[in-house]
Amino acid sequence: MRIDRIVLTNFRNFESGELTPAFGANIFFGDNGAGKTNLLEALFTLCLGRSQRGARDVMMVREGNGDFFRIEGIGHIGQPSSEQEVKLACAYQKGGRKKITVDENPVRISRLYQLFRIVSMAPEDVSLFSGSPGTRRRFLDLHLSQGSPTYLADLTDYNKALAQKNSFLKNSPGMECPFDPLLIQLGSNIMKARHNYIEFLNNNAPDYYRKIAGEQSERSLSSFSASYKPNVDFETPDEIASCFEDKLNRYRPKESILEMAIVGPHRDDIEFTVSGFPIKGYGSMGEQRSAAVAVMMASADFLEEKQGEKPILLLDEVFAELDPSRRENLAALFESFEQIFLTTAVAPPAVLYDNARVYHIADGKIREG
Amino acid sequence: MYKSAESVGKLVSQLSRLPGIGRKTAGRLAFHILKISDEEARELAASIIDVKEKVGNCSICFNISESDPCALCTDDKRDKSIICVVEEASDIIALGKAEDFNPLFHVLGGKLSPLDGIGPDDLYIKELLSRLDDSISEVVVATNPDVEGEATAIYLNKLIKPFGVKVTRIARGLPVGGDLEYADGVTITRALQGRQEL
Repeated sequence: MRIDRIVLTNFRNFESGELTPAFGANIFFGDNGAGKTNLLEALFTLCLGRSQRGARDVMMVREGNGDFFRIEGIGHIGQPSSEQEVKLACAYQKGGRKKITVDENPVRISRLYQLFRIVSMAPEDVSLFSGSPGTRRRFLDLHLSQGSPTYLADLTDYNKALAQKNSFLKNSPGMECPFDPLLIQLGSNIMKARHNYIEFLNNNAPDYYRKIAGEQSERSLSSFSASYKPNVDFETPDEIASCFEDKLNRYRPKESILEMAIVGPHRDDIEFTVSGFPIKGYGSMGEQRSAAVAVMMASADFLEEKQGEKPILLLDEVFAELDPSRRENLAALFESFEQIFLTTAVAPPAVLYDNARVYHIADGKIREG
Repeated sequence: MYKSAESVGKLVSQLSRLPGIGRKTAGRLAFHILKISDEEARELAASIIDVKEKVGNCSICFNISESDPCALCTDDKRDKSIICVVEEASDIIALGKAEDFNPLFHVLGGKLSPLDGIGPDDLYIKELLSRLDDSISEVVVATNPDVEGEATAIYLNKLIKPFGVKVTRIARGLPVGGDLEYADGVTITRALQGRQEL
């Protein structure tokens, strides 16, 4: 899959702009604050309907004149022999709702998740290790939703049922919530999918870490591991539903007092460790960055395994804070992707740069070459 | 600024309170009513008053009816061992299109939705349970396949099971005459989850 053309209007610091990206690497060059990351954000929003850095729609409207933004694009999905052209557009008017269209027909965001798959890497990914459990759940949901439309449907329904349950607990304390059986059913599906995904990460991310760090590295995070910390403990995935029900029964009095649902996947977490210690306090910044990239590369493999096609990579300053040998090792991993977008303030490794299409970004203008 | 006659304004604001009717449509309807004959207008007004005076709820199944019990509950040709549970009386009309399915019905009067202030006590659930005697062998839950409808169905199942009555749920999946090629992943997955042995 790839994006062939993207046109921006009133988006962030771009009054208007157009890109015709190539196969392989597309590099956005520019000073700090020139708007390189905004272009990645435009691509992410076009493909998945929202900002990868969690910005609200209104924040993406260009400051000053204009009360709307619009992103349009054309891309291709599917294998080269049977690829299919897709026309996407995402428009937002202040005070209104975002409108998303596919081939000029209005669609819900969930439809977008079945078209283009994106893996985005950025310096703030180290918050996977240092941030709140919510950050890690958003990471899980972003990739699982792209890998499986059923997961996204279950998650959407789970959140609706959860809101109903919280409202029920406030209005009828002490009673058994009629939404519990549905929450158990949907929640078990969600936890099963998360369990499998984290197992996949645990099997694949350490290898990527070794490749980035270099085999000879003494401090190689050979014992890097990701483990699922579900809110409901279980031995095997088949037991999830019954364990969930047991825990709900035990916690019912507590939920009733707190007037809040406290059992379920909305309280899940993941633990990333090195040699048994949390990465947060163990690795240097460069090592944490490498570990975050390793997790994202494994996620890209997960999407490829699920959907039979490599996702598009958006790489925001991924080479910063890495030593030259790690940069070379990392660049080599990106070669096999059909399309990547990369922002950088300094020249990236030659292996990427030599065949790349380069854009210079300055003063809200995009110049090719 | 020109303002139309007071009585027209009043009609417009009354009409715009109906579901699905905005100010503009209400205006169009009001001007249409102005144009129709006196007789037609009287018939319209009379039929509105008529339904309010004559139609009530059946005390057994809570379907809308002019008689109590309603025509469905007293119909001897129906299969009285099956009760089909629906959210609203209008759903009975939809289910009435099914062939070879002539059960008794039970209208819940909505679905569980605490966010809208609707709990089990706000629905005709106790009345449903009181209908479950030895003559009933199956309860078909035909609430809508959304989160609240699904929760209501699961909740009813839990309540009815102890009565020793079979509880079934309408299937969901591919539409008849639909093309597999155009079904989305979620629909296909759900359809496969509910697959049946031939």
